[in-house]
Amino acid sequence: MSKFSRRSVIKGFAATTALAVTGVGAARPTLAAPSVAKGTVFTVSTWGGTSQAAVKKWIGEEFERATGATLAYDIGILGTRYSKLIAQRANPSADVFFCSDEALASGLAAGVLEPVRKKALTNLPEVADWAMSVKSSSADTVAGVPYAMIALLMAYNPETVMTAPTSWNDLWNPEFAGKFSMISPAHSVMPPFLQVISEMNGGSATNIAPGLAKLAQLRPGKLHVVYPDWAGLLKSGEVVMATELTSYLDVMRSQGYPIEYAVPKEKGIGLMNFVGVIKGTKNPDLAEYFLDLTISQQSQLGLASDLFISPINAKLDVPSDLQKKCFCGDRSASLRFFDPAESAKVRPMWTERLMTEVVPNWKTR
Amino acid sequence: MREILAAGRWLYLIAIYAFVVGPMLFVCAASLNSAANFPANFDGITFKWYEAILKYPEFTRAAWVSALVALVSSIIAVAAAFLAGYGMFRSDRKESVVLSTVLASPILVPQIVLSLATLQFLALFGVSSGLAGLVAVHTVHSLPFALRLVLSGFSRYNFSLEEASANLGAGRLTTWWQVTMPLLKANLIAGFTFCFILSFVNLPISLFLTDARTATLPLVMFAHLEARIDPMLPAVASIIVIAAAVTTILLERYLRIRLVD
Amino acid sequence: MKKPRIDIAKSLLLLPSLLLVTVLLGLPLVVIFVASFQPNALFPADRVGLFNYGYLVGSQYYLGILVRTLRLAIVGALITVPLGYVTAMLLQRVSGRAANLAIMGLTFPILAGPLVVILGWMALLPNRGPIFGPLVDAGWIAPPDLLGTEVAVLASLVQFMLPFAILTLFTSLRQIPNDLYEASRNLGASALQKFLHITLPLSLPGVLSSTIIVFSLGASSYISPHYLGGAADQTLTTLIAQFVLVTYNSPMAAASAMLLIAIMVAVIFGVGTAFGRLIRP
Repeated sequence: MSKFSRRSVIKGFAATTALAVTGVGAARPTLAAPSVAKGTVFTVSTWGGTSQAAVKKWIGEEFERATGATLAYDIGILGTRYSKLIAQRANPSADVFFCSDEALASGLAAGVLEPVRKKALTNLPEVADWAMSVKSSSADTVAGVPYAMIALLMAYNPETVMTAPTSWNDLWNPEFAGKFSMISPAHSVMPPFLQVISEMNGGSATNIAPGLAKLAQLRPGKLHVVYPDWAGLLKSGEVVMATELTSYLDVMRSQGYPIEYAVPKEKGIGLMNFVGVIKGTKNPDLAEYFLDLTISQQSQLGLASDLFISPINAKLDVPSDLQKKCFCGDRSASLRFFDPAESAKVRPMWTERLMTEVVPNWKTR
Repeated sequence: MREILAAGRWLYLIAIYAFVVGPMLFVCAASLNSAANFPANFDGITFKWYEAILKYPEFTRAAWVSALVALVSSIIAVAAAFLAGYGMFRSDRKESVVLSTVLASPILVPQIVLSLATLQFLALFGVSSGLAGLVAVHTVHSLPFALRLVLSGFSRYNFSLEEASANLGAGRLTTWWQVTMPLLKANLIAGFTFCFILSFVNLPISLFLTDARTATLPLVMFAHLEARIDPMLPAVASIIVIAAAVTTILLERYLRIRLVD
Repeated sequence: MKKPRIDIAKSLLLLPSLLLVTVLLGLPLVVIFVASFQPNALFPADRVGLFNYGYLVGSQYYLGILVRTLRLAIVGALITVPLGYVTAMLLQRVSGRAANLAIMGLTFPILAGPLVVILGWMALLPNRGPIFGPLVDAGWIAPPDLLGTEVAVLASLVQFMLPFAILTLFTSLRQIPNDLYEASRNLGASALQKFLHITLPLSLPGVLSSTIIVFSLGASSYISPHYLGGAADQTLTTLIAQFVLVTYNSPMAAASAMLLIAIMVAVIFGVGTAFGRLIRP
């Protein structure tokens, strides 16, 4: 059990304020790390594989060193972790929660995640304005901290596609019929995408009928949720183009797949991934420290280079070799952002309509 | 004519084995491919993917958890199935359709829903996800399979042997240990193997019932796969297969435990 | 008339399994059952009702999913059981150590994990993959376009189900006493007669078991239809997974699950009854 004494919090508070006043914006978080009883286990719910490895390396190690707590990881896809969160609300088994912006909004609305005190996050002023897409209900808290920005763009095989696509409308190009991989209606970025297509065809966020009708005319070759679903087809040439997230596209490039991305003139769709604090956590002070560490420049740089995500710390100078390697760095001007709380609200109904009205037209074979 | 039939038999068996084992062999071969992604054309032999596993202690840890859960749940399932079969056949000399159906019902519930419902059910009592809950669900999920294999053994079992054994002065447990179980050895071992395998590779049942310390191997592999196609996964699969092959051979050679006689 | 004694021994023997099933299946099943009537994001009513069921059963889209699930499971079983039966028969001739290794070898692909094997299928099936690539390039066949079809899903289902069928049938065939065959040989029976009058009838319980097991595996399969199936071709299991993991709609997932259970019970009951007549005419 962590010994959470008022004294340590006030000490930390005082230290922060003093440093903020003197304007020292160090690369390391300067909040005095809460020290806890030996053997305290702090559980992080996050995605597995490379995500977990990056979190461990760029946040976890420093966290353990500074606080003396031990980190444990509950890994899995977001769907399972979120369902567990809801089911175990009376007795949560984790402390902080890595998730999409939508899930953060839903979690707060459902009362399983709780907002974080602004004062506890020393690195908060460095977070880019466009990154705080999920709003908190009160002025002295934030919903959670963003830690990554990814974007939905179009990608194509430069060896076989001679003219790069320039607009979302190119998806309907007969040249690509049956040969591109489309994001599945189950994908988290579908609601914004549907809204964009609707707007391009005379509709809006409240009138999606034109979007649904237009999408029914698409002829994708495959639907995917994550890139392993279609990467093999790119290799074999059955897929030459895809709508995909920049993080995956950069992974593919690093693995030697022939892939280039194209930013549509209507702008790509930007999304944030967040870390939130689980309501009822037994280690609230550790949770705040963890979040603060996550948005620090050092962590952001490490995460960006390992996970091919865009950092959200506006003060960070992204080195040029990293900028070349991925879509990282501040490309927010070429992207459009949406309100995750709204997306979360409409997603069930929109997914249902997509599955029943649009996807049957996408019979690929 | 005889030779044609014999050749035909071999061809059939080879075809079946090629079909069943082929894709797996392909994947295992890919684990030695030094190409950066999977699948890829053959680039050169390497063991780097196996070395990479060592950097992920999650895999080894998860393998132990999976093996433990599979072992315990299979033993309990087979034991429960043995007792149930004995109870059914001892008095009625035949399988009770009603009882069999009830005990086999776990097979009918979609695993992902069972997993979530069990989590919610356990949460009602404040029981959080942990090893006990995991083993419990795996056990109940394995029960129908254990039952199927054990019951077919009981249908051939001669219960007069029990009387003979009792007449010779043996108690219930002795009879079980020295008469019943040896005669049903094939069924019990087959049942255990079935259950062990199903439990070890199971993903949906474990999906909602693991926490930071009890992640099973399929779960870790699935979580890993979501972010990246890694040739490391074929390496993990190969290790499991090799371990299974070695275990089979060792069990057979030193303990004379065979799946079939 | 004497009241029948409750067989205490029998009750005690059956207690462990019954307890397991009641507590760990029955009670969660109640949770599922209750959830299936609850309002949700698609039906924000203020009271419980049958709307979830009504929606699923009344929609052509969902009925299509139901039919597809059944089709895959039944066709899969119809292919797997005969193939497995022949294999199990042929393996009877192999003895001892070789037989042991042969049977265990069949289980290795399952141990490797369905997920990994699916990767193998995804690598082997594309038009330009290692199997069809050379054939198409040589001009022997047209590009088969298998990925994303039910054929691909069926192939991987059969591959997954075969070892289970073979194991069950092998055990069942093994238990037919050899003296029966000897006796029939002494009576001058031909191989065909031996098969029709000894092997087939006595192995029917095993055939029934393996059919039920294989059908259940097919109907509840997630990985094969999800990774190898077509975009528009969901099965009940992938649908349930979507309700649980994507739209977080527990009540719809529960209703779909209850429907799947009902279908499986109906089919298994039907098959069991039909077989029962064959086994005990």
